[in-house]
This record gives sequence, structure tokens and C-alpha cells, in this order.
Amino acid sequence: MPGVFGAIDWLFIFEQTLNEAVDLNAIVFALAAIGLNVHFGYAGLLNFGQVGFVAAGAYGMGLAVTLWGLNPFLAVVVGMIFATIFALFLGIPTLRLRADYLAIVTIASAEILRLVARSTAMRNITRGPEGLNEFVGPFRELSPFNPSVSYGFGPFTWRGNQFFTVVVGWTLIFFFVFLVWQLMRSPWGRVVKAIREDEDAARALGKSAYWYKLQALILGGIIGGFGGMMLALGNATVQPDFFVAPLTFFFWLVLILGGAGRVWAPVLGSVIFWGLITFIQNLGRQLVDAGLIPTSIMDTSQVDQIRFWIVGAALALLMIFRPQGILGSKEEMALDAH
Amino acid sequence: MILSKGLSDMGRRVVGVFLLGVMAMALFVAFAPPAFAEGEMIGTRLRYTEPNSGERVAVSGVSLTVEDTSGETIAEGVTDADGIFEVEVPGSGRYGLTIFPETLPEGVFLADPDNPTKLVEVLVGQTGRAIFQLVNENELAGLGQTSTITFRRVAQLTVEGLKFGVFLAMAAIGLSLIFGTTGLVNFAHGEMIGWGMLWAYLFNFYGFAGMFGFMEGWPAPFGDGVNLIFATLMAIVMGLGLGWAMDKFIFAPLRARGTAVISAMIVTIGLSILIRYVYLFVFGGVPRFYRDYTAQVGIKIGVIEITPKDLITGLLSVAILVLVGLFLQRARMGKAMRAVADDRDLAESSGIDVQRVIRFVWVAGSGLAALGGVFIGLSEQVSWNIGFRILLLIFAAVVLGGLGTAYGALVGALIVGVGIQVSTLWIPPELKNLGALVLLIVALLIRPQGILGKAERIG
Amino acid sequence: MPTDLEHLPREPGVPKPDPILVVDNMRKRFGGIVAVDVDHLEIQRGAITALIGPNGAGKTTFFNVLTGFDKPDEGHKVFDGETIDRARPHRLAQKGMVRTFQLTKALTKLAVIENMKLGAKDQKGENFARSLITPIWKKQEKEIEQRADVLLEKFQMDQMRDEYAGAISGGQRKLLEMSRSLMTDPKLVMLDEPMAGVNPALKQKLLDHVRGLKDQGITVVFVEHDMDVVQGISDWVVVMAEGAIIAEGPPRSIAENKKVIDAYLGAHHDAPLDLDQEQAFLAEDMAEEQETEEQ
Ligand SMILES: Nc1ncnc2c1ncn2[C@@H]1O[C@H](COP(=O)(O)OP(=O)(O)O)[C@@H](O)[C@H]1O
Ligand SMILES: [Mg+2]
Repeated sequence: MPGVFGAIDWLFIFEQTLNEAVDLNAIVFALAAIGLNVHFGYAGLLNFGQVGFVAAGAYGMGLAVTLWGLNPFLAVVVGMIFATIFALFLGIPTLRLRADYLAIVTIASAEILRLVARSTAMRNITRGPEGLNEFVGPFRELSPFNPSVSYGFGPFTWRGNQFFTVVVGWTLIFFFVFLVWQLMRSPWGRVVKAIREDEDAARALGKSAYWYKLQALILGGIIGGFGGMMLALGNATVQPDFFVAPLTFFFWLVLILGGAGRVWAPVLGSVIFWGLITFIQNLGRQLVDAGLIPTSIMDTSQVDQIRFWIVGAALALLMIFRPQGILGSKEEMALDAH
Repeated sequence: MILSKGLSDMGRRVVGVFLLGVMAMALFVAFAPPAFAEGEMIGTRLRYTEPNSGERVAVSGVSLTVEDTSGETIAEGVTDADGIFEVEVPGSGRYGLTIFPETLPEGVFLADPDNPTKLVEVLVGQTGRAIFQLVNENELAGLGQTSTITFRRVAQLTVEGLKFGVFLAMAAIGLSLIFGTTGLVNFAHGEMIGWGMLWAYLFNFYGFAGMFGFMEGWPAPFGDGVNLIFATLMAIVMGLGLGWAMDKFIFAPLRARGTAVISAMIVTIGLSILIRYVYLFVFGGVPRFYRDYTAQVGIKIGVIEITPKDLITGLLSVAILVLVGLFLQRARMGKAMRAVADDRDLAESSGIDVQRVIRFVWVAGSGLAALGGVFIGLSEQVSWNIGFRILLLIFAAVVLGGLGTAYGALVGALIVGVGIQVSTLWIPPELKNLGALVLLIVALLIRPQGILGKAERIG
Repeated sequence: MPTDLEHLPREPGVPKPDPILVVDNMRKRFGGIVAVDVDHLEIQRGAITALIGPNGAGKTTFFNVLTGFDKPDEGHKVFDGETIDRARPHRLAQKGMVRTFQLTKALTKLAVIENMKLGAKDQKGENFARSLITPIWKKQEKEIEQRADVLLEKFQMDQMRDEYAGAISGGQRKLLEMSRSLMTDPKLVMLDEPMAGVNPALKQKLLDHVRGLKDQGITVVFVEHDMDVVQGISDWVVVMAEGAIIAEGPPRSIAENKKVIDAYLGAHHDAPLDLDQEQAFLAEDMAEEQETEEQ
């Protein structure tokens, strides 16, 4: 049916797809998933509230500027401190207990954090649902790029400010991937992986499982917090309703897709995820607009919901059929089923 | 192990088919767009006494928001030149109307700054109104800042908390029992509550045509809505079926494969998102209300006030919980369930068919969750994301009582129910779930095995 | 060689010439059950002590409270002259008290050699900041690896050094757990049913290793069901039943002790809790042996 394909602007779809695969969203997801990889992939911590760390980082950095007028570098430090505090809040009560308790507390706390941030009671600080909007100036002053000039080539083209975010974001990604790689080949990483396998065995050999889990939770949380800071910089805003609970499971999907416990997995997962989502969504929207999908079945706003179906189904199906993801090894997974 | 490997391929295929089935269901359950009554509004008018002239003057440009009972903001706006703010709401029921005191003009204050949110009952086809008392500087100085904690309010909130607590208990028991017998924390349990709530809505409005579109136009139970009581019974049947299907097609095969519970837990997370957003697709994002028994005027019992529907469903829930308790104590299956939860290996070696018991727990737990969902929907509202909103409360309840114990879930649910209601004496209602979280964390710090739970085994 | 224990009185709670571990009034309840109820017990330094008792006697729970994995309801313990009532498991391991578990805890997704290296104490690279700079820990890591290789060779596991611990047989995992615990340089090794589910050939090897520990001056406490095994290698036997210590003495004296015979016969008898696992292990080991024979 040539008519079907004629109605669709394939070039636009492919350009969008390639661009989104490395743009701000992919950066934020990659960072959040690198943090999650430290948590789940290496330390075996079931963090179902990673979005809370992302929010903590974003709010920490934003508030440092809007509330306390700190300079950008200190603001980043405040973002890290916020993520650390959130990690302590979650970790201290739960890390001595079975793994599921952390899962329960994290999923609840991340949502509560969002509700508190958007609440009336906090309005003077967090500005409620509108969020923080006036913090990005000092950061942009650091940018060497001209805001009104386009940088890059082909589909990978951005205006100065966005280009700045993309460059900083990918630099952070490479930095944290390297950091995780170094940690996980060191004795520190060995202890953390041992705790993932069997915490009591590690304790019997003289390792404080609690302390290492707390360190891993903080580290992964801070990396997630950097995801939040990138998000804040890229969008020039921090709004509570961005940090909804399902986002955490997008990060999970990104991680599992790449292969938990592999250093590059979160990055690969994020790039593929955003490429795919953009492709499907743009195609879906165009199909609806062109009348090829009748609106009685689905309208354009519902096309956007499909993303959640895909994420939910993909997460469940991946865990069942290919828990090792793209980069993981099947043999290693088989060891679990003993 | 070799046997389970042989099974696993088939198991996988079945799981895949089931997941596709859920998505397909979403696509093909086509039903007419909802037709709910129109014209419900919520509003207020802001005026204050100008200190110099002594005249009542309209206060314009003040921000207000409307929240539903879950605390989600559903509308916002500012007062017009006449000091009037009015917006449409999705239906009758209770809403919170919140004023933002910092947007008041200079020299105008809220008489009761601790309560910027008013609870408004909106009846069918009417406008619910709230009154915010505004004062000027002189009046403000004369106001004694008295706290408003009265015996009546405490009693009222306690009763509301107990009511919600028994609903919560019913919804939560399944989660706790499934954990007790399989070690799995089912993050999709909230969606099982939503399942009952939404099916009851569909049956209530569309009858069987809600499920099989071609029946549209047929007589009452088939092509037209049925009374909520029958709809509830049908929703329970759907709930039992869901529990059966989830175990049969997903979790039993995973157990047979020896999949780690952690992986199974991530599967439940995936399922919960998938199912929840299928609900959104089918049902839409606007909260609704059942067709029957929705707008009721409260009756006074002593100092407290309660609607007949809440009274009846509350008592019904108590009766059901008593039956569940008796079942666990007396019935053979009940004893077997407790035995499996207590020590699975021991139960197995003493001849209990553990897989059958687990299947039963899934079915019964899901049925109870469905019924709990209908009651919560009737008491508050019917919405697609109830599952997630209530998940924290269920977790708080079962952890507080002791993960894995049925009675623990009951005790925990009552504490959480009363706790969050009474906490609104001090904290804004929009943050009342914060109380549940705090309760959960304190419980973990002090007694991680919960009130009725026991410590786990090492070595 | 430790002091001769033959001449000590054969009664529960008897003082030892040179105790490394002393336990007083130790109690642990689970609901109605008193799992541990020990008035006094001393463990002789440098000796092999067997802890026996019917299933459910409380041996594992006793290990758990001794090693800090479980909190006793009451009781005192002194290890090597130091009170350790509140010490957490990892602190005790660092002090030289290391244990193994009844259900083997191999770190399945780590290589055998990594399992071993984990055991080493005071590793510089286990500190977060220092782990970031490889030169700080590289040298120590090499030394640890050499030590691990020596141990692996001694335990005849050198050929599976780079395999995943989850991929080796059940019996070998028991061996691994034992040799891994030696990487901590322990003073006292507590083995919870090290021989359970191990095929006879491997069992003999394990016994030799336990004797070898003693020769190195390491104190050993081990839990075992099989009286024959106990007779062969232990210097002293402690018998538990229903949480309490009902008899103590040199191995030969225990076999004739009436209380002990009653305890064993009176109890449901001796089917180990994890029968399935044992059988699985056995089957695996046998299959593996066959394979090697065929080659
Ligand atoms: N965590 C626990 N909760 C309840 N009872 C337990 C727990 N751990 C052990 N027990 C009970 O304590 C008793 C002693 O068990 P255990 O120490 O495992 O005995 P043994 O190792 O000698 O076979 C048994 O009756 C057992 O059921
Ligand atoms: Mg034992």
C-alpha cells in the first residue's frame, strides 16, 4: 500500500529517533540507570524509588540557587547532599532487613517526596506544582557555546544551550561509567558483589554488609541525583509532576534491557529505549493523524500512554525471557536458578 | 530441575500469551464513552471587611485549587473581580478546596491559617460551596489562636479511619498471605484492587456489554447496567478469576522454573504498570462514581456522622474479616495456609499440597482485594490509579502488622486507617499519606518483623 | 598438641584448661520454644570439639547466637579473653571467629578465586576512596591471590579456580566455603554440618582438612550427625538436646552415655532437615565422578 507509507514522513521520524537517542532524556535515563546499576546490578539492592533520587538531585541544585543563592558548583554539591540524605533516610531503617523492605520503603518514599514537594505547606520553598524556574542563569553563564548558534551535524544538532547540556551530560555519563568500572574491579566492588550474592556469607567473612550497602545506596543515589540535575539544567525547570513513580520503572527497564551488572548496560539501554519509544510514538501519532488508526480505537493522547504499556510489558517479559538483557551472560543467570 | 527446565518453555509461552491477552483485552473492550451526570461545580466567594470604610469588599486574584480525595489537584484558578471562584468537577462527591493565603492582597488574612483546605461535599447536579473567613489586620489581632481539636472531630476521624481500615484490611490480606506462602511481594496487588473497583463500575453502568461489546442494547444484565450489589458480586468473580489466572499463567510457571523471588517481584512491577495504564486507556483519567448509592446524606449517631453506605459496607467488611479469621482457624484449607506460611518445607513434608494452597491464596486474596476495591470506590471514587495510590497504605499496613500474617494485615490496616485520618488534625490532608510512611519507617526501626510477625531464620 | 582432655570430669559445663570461648547463661527463645538454653560451656583452645545432637536440638541457633547472627535473649560470651556480648558478626570474624553455614553459601556469581580473595582481612582496596586508586591496593591484591592459590591447591581445587562458584558441585562448594573461611586467618573455625550431603570420598578429604586445621593451631568446633565421624577426629564432644547441653566428654565416653542415647532415640530421629539438598548434592557429586572416570 503505497498510500500508507506516503502519508508518513519517514525522514522526520528517523531524525527524531536518532536525536532523542542521545538527547537530554537519554542522558537523564542513562545516569539514573547507572545509579540503579550500582544498586541492583552490583549490590543487589531493590531500589524501586530511583526517581526520588533524581528529584532530590534536581531540587537540591535548584533550591541552592533560588533559595540560598549559591554559585553553580556549590549548587551541584547541594544536589549531591540532598541525594545522600534521601539515601540515608531510606537506608538506615531498611538495610539491616530483608531486601523487600527496601523496595517497599523506596517506592513509597519517592512518591511521598513528590507529594511533599508539590504540597501547599511547602509552597514557599518549592513553589508547589509550578516548581522552580529561576535557577538556570548562572549555569548557562558557564557555557562556552553561543545560545543562538546551532552546533553539531545532521540529526545531532542543538542550539548552544542545549548543546551545552548534551556535552556536559555525556561527559558525566562517561565519567560515571568509568567510576563504576574502576570500583567494581577493586576489592570494594568484590565485597559489594559478594553481598549481592549472599549477605550472610559476606558478614561471616568480616565484611559489614550494612555499611557497604549504605555506601552503594548513597553512590547510586548521587549518580541518579546527577540525572536530576541534568534534567533541571536541560529543561530549565524542576517540576514535581515530572517525578512520577512509573519513571523509576522506565529506569529499571533501561537497566534490564542493557543487562544489570554490566558497566555499559544503562547507557546502551537508555539509547535503545529512547530511540524505540520515539520511533513508535512518532509513527503512532502520524498513523492517527493520517487516519490510518481510527480515533475510535485510539487518539493521539492515548498514543502517548502506549509508552507505559510497552514499558510494563517489556519489563515483565524481559525478566521472564531474557533477564540477562543485551550485554549479560545467560550462564550467569542460570546460576541463580539453583 | 531437569523436569522444570522441560516445563519452562511451555510455561514461558503461556506467560507470553497471557500478557498479550491483557493488552488485547484493552484494545477490544470497546464500550460507549461514559455518560455521567453534568453540572456539578465547586466554588467559593471571597470578601472581607475593609478596615477604613467598614464595607464588605470582594477579594480578587486569589489562587485556589480543587483536590479530589486522593489529594490530586483536579482544577485550579483565581477569584474574579467579584471574588468568585467556580469550576466544574468530574462528579458528585467530596473534594478539597484549598486557598493559597500568600496570594491574598496585603492586609487581608485567613482567619484560620492552619486550615487552608476545606472539605466540600458536592451533590449531584449542584454546586458545593466552601466559606473561607477572611479578616483584616484589626480583626486578626483580636483573634485568639485557639486550636480546633475537639472530641467530636477526633471521634469522627476515628470512625472514618476504622471504616477505611477495614476496607484496607480486606484489600491487604491477600498481599500478606501471598507473601507468607511464596515469599513474593506482589507490587501488582494494588491493580487487583483497581480490578474489582473498575469491573464493578463497568457492570454497574453497562452490564455484560461492558465486557462483550456486541451485547449492547440487550436487556438489563446483558446490555444495560445492573444494580451495584449485583455488579459487586460480578466484580468479585472477576477478582477470583484474575488471581487464578495470575498464578496459573505467570507465577506458578515461574516457581516451577525456580526463578528467584526478586525476579518475580520485578515481573509484578512490570505487570502493575501495564495493567494500570490499560485501565487508564479503557477507563480514562477522570475519577467517576458508581451509579447507585453515590450521594447520600450522613446520619448522626451520637457525635459522629456517617453515610448509610459507609456504615453498611463497613459492617459488611467486619463480618467478612471475621469469616476470614474463622476460615483460617477452622477450615482445613485455612489451617493448611497457615502451615505453609509458617514453614513451607515442613508443610510439604507433612503431605500438604503446597501448590494448591498457593493457588487458593492467590484466588481468595484477589477476590478480597476486588471487594475491597468496590467498597473503597463506593466510599470515595472510582479511579484508574487507585492501585498505586493505595499501595503505600497497604504496604504500611502489612509491614506494621507483620509481613506474611493475615491477622497482622488486619491489625496494621486498622492502625494505618485510623492513624492517617486522625493525623489530619495536625497535618494537611494532602500530606496524610506522609503519616503512613512515617509509621512504616518507625515500625521498621523498632520492630521490623511487625506486630504479629516473627523473626526470620538464619543459617 | 593441646592439653590432654581425657582426664577432665565428664559433665556439662566442665571448665577447660585453656578455653578460647566461654559461654554463660545463654538463652534464645522462639515463641514457645527454647532453642538455646546453655548454662555454661567452655571450648578448649587448639582442640577439635564436636557439637552433636538430634535435629532441632538448637545447634544452628547456638552457632547463630555465638557468632552474632542472632541476638540471644540473655547470656554472656567471652572470646579469647574479650567480652563479645554485643559484637556484630563481621566484627567477630575480624577478631578471628569465623563460621560456615549448614546450607552452603557460595557466592555463586563470583569466580572461585574471587570467593577466596574476599575472605582476606584488612584489604586496603575495600575502602571506597582507596579502591579508586589501583596502585594503592594492587600489591596487596597480588599477595592475597597467591595465598588463595596456595590454599586452593591444598584443598585440591586449583583446577576450578576461575569457574563460577555456582557452577561447581555441592560438595566442592562445602570445601570452598571452608577454605574461604581460612583466608580470614581465624583463631576459631565453627563449621555447621560441614560433612552433610558430601559423598564419602570427599568426606574423607574434609576430615583430613579439619585435622590439618588443628595441626596449624586453629581451634575447630563443628556440628555433625554421624557419630562415626565424630569418633574419628574430635578431641571433645558436646551433646545438645532441646537447647541444653546434656553431656560433655571425650568421644568414646559419649557413645556409652545413657542420656545421649535417650536423646537420640527419643527424638523423632535423625532425618536432616534439608534432605532434598543433600540428595541433590550427592547425586551431583556422583554424576561428576562418573564423568571423570569415563574420561
Ligand atoms: N527463626 C526461627 N523461628 C522460629 N523457630 C526457630 C527459628 N530458628 C530455629 N527455630 C527452632 O529452634 C529449634 C532449634 O533449631 P536449630 O537450631 O535449627 O536446630 P539444629 O541445628 O540443632 O537442628 C527448632 O525447634 C527450630 O524449629
Ligand atoms: Mg542445624
